[in-house]
Amino acid sequence: MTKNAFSTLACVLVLFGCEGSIGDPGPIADPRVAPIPTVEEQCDDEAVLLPTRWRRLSGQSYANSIENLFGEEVARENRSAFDAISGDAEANSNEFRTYFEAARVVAGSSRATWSAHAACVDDADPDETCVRSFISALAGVAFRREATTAESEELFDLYSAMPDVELGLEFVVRAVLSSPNFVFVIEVGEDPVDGATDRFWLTGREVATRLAFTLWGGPPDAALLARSSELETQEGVEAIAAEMLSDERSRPRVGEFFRGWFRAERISPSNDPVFLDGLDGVDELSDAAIREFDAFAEHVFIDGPGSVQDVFTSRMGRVIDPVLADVYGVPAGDAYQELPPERAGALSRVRWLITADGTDASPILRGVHALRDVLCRPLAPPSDAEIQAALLETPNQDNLSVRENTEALTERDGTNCSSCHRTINAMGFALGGFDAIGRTVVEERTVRGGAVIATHDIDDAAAFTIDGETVGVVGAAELGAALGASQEASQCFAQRAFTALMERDVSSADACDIADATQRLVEGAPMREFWVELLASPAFRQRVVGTGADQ
Amino acid sequence: MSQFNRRTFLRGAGGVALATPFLSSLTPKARAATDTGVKRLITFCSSQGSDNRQMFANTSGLTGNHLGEHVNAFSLNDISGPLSEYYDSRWDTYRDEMLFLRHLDPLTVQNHSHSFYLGGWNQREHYEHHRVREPHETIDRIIARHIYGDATPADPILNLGAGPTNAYGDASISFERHARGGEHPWNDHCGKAPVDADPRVLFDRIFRDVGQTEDVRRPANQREQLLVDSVLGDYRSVRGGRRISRVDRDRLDAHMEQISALETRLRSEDFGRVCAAPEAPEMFEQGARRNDPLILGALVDVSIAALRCDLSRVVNIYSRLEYMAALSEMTQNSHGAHHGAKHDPQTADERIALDDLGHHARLILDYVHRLTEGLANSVDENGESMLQSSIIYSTRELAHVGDHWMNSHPVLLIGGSNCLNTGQQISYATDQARPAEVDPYSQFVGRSYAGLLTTLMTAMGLQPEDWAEETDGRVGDYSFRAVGVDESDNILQGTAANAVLPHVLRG
Repeated sequence: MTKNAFSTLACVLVLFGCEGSIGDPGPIADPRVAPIPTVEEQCDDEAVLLPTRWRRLSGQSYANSIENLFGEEVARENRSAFDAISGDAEANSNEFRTYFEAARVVAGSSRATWSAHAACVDDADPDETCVRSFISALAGVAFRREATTAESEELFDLYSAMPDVELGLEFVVRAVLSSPNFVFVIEVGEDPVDGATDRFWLTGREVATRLAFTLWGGPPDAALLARSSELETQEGVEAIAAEMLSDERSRPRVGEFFRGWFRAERISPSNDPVFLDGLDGVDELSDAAIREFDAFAEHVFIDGPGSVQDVFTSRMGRVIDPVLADVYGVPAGDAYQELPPERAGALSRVRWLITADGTDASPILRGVHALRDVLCRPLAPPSDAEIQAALLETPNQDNLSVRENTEALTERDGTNCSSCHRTINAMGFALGGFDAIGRTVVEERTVRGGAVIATHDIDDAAAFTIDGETVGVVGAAELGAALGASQEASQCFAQRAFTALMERDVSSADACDIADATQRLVEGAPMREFWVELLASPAFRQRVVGTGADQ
Repeated sequence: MSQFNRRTFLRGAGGVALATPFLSSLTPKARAATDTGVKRLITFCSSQGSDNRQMFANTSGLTGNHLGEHVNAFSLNDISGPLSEYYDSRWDTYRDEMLFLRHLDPLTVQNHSHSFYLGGWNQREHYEHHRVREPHETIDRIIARHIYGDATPADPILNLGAGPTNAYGDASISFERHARGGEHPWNDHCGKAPVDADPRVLFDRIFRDVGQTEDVRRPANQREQLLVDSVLGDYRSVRGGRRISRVDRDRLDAHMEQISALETRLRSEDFGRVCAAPEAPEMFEQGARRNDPLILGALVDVSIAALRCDLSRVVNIYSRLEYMAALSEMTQNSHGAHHGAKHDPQTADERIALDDLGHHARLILDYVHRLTEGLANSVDENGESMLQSSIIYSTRELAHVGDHWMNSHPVLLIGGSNCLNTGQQISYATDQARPAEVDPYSQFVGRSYAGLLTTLMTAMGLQPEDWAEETDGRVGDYSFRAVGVDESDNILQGTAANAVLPHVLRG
C-alpha cells in the first residue's frame, strides 16, 4: 500500500476509541464506551458542595452589558473588541488586558451616548454636580448595585486629574468598565444557610442578576430588578424564571445550550461539484443549518411540548434558507412546518449530520458524537500511532461502501478496535441514509476526483447497547426514538443542563438533587420545567464560598 | 505610583496638558533573547507543495564539506549561476544570509497540516478526524513567552494571512491571544489563525500609538498610570472584601498581576518611543474584493513596519490555498496544482502541477525576498541590520506535489547571522534510501524535523528545560514512529530528543 493510499483512507475513514478487548463482538467491553453511572449511583448526601464562583463577563455578556449601559449602537460598533474577551470559558494570562482594551474602545465612543446616565454630560462644560451625578448613575448600573461614596469619590478624583472634560469623562468610563465590579458579577450573599459559615443565600437582587446572566446573557433590566423581593423565595424564582424563559432574550441561550449538547458546530461542507450534484449555495448551507438547528431547539424547548424524547423525534422545523429547504425537500419559509419522516429529531438535521468536509459520510464521527456528546459516554481517542497502524493494515477499497470499509477497518475480529467500534459505528450506520452533508439518499455514491466511481445500496440497520440493553434499529427515526426514550439521554441532558446553568460540574451532592428530576425527564416531563427547577433550587440561589474563604 | 498616596497623586496630576491616546499596543521591554544575538522570528509559510528539489540550492557537481556523520555542507557561494530555478539571481545578494537545511523529515506528519511547521506534529489530522481540540504547543508561542516573560502583552504574536479567512475579505490580521495556554487556534493550511475582527480595526490597533513625540508621550503614559492605579485600587478593595472564596481570590490575583505588569510597562522609559506607521493597505477595508493579488505584499510591508517599531518580535505570515489562484493566475482552479496531481485523475499531470506550483513558488519567494530586503534595510538599535538579529523561516505546507508527505521538507533560514552558520546548504541525508515509489522527491531518509524546532528555539535563547516540560516533550521530540519507513531504522531512532541540528548554530 502506498502512502497516497494511506492518506486517502485517512480522509475517508476515521478511527475512534480504538482500544478494548480483542475479538469480543458482544456487549460493551471497553469502559470508555460504557454508560455513565446513573445519578442515583453518584448521589452522596454527605458530599461537600463545590464552591460557586463569580461569573466573569464573556464577550457576549460584555456586549449585552455595554448595550444596557450605552445603547445598542455602541455595543454593535465595538463588537470586535468584545470578541477578544474569553470570559470564563478560557483562562489566560492576558484576560485583564482584553477587558482593559474593550473599555478603552467603548470610552472612545461619542459622549452623547453617555447622556442616558446624566443628560448634562453632553454639555460642553458640565459642572461638578453633573459629573458626580453621571459617575453615580454610570457606576450604579455598571456595578449592578449602588456605588459607594468612596468609589464615587475615587472616580471623581480621576476625572479631576485629567486636563479637560473630554478626557476626564473618557477615563471615568474606562475606569468603571475596567473595574472588577463590572468585569466580575460579584455576589456576596446575605443570610447563612442553616447557620453554615460557608454557604449564604443570595439576595433577591443577586438572584435577579444571576438569572439574567444565565438566561439572557446580560444584566437584569429594571423590570426584573423591581421584582427582586419576589426572588427571595423558591416559589418566586420558579414563577419569574418560567416567565424569563418565555422571553425572547432566552432563545439564544437555549439554542446555545442545544448546540453545545449536540456539538453542532459550524463545519464547511465539501464543495466538490460532482458530489454536490447541482446543489446551489453550499457555502451557506452550514450557517443555514445552524439557524435551523437553533430554531428547532427553541421550538421544542420553549414552545413545547418539550420533553427529551421530543428532541430526538420531533419533525417540526423552521427552514428559512432556500439551500436548506432544497435539502429537506420542503418550501422555505419562516413558519414552522412538519418535515419529512426521515427528519425526526435533532440527529437527523443537517447541522448535526455534517460531520466531515469530505464527500463520504463518516459513521464513526457520527457515532462518536452520538455517544460522547449526546449520551455523555466518556470516549478517549486512540493515539495517532494506533490510527496509522490500523490504516497501514487495512487498505481502503473504493468498490466498497463506507459501511463496508468502516467495518473492515475497525470491526475485524481479533483487532483492538472492534469492541469499541461495534458500538460507535452502529450509531453512525443507522444514519446511513444521509450523505456527508445530510441529504437524504437512496443510494450511496462514491465520489473520487470529481467523478462518481461507484454506487452502493444503503444499509442503515444497526444494533447497539443502550441502558444496558441491546437495541436494533433501522434508520434515523428509529435511532432517534431509541435514544430519546433512554435513561442515558435524559441523564445526559440533566447533567449538561446543570453544568450550563450552574456553571460548574455536577458534584455528588448535586447528583442527589437531580436524580429524581432525571427520572421524570425519562417519563416525559418538559425540559424547561427541569431548567426552572434548577434555577429555583438552593444550589442556584446560594453562594458557597468553600473552605479557606475570607468570612 | 503605588509608593504614593493615590488620591494625592491624582489631584497633583490634574492640569497636565494631554492629548494623545493610550499606548497599549506597544511592546513591553522585551527580555533579552539576545544572548544569542537573535531577537526576532518571522515565519513565512505558503499552502501546497512544489518541486521540492527546486526549493533547495542546486549543489550537484559540488563536493560538500563533510562535517560529521551524515552532515554535509555546501557553500552557497560555490554555486555558479542562480541557486536554483526558484531562487534566481536576485537572491545572490543574500547568499551569505541564507541557510538551506535539506533532508529534515517530519515523518509522522502527513496530509495538509497546519501546525507541524511550528509544532512538529500534525494537529490538523487529529482535529479533522476527531473534532477534538487539544492544546498543542508551537515554537512561536514558546518563543513569545520567552521574549516577553512576565510582561507578555495581550498580543505577543502577529499573524498575517492572505486568503479567505473571514467576512472581511482576504486580508487578515490576527493576534495570538493564547500564548499562555488554551486551545490552539490554528485550524487550516499553514496556520489559518482565527480572525474574528475587521483587519482594518486591528491594523489601527497595532499602529495607533506610534509616531508620538516625547512631549506628548510622557504625559500620556502618566495619565495611563493614573487609570491603571485607580483600577488596581478597585481590585484591592474587592479582594479585601468579605466572603471571598479561594477560587475568586485567585482570579482577582491573576488580574492584579496583569495590572501590575501593565504598570511596569508604562513606567519603562522606552515605552511608546517614536517610530513610523505605514499607510493602511486599501484592501483591509471591509468589502475589498476577494483575492487581491497585492494582499501578500501589503502584509509583508505591515510586518516590516511592525518589526521596525518593535511592536512584535514573533510574526507569522501565511499564504493560504485560496490565495494561490489570485497570486499565480493559474490556469486550473484553486484545487489544481497539488490536487491536480494528487486527487484529480482527469488532470493528474504531474508536469502541469509542477509548472503551476513552480510559478506559485517563485511568486511567493518574491515576497520572501521583499521581507528579507525590508529587514536588511532596517537598522536595529545597535546600528546593525535588523536581518542580522532576525531569523526568517521560509517554508511550504507540503514538500511534494503529488502526495501529502513532507520528507526533506523545504527549510530556508534567512538572517540571524549573529547566531546561525549562514551562507551554506547543509544536507542531513543518511545512507538509507527510500523506495522510489514511496518518495520520488527525497531519496534519502534524513534527520528529524523536530531538530529544526529545537534549533530555532535555541537560537532564540531557549534551552530544552525552558520548554520541554510545558510542552510535554512534544515539540522537539524525536520519538516518533514513522509510517512507511522501516521501524528498525536505527539511524532515526538513535537521535536524541530535543537535540539541535549539528553545525547550524555558531560556536
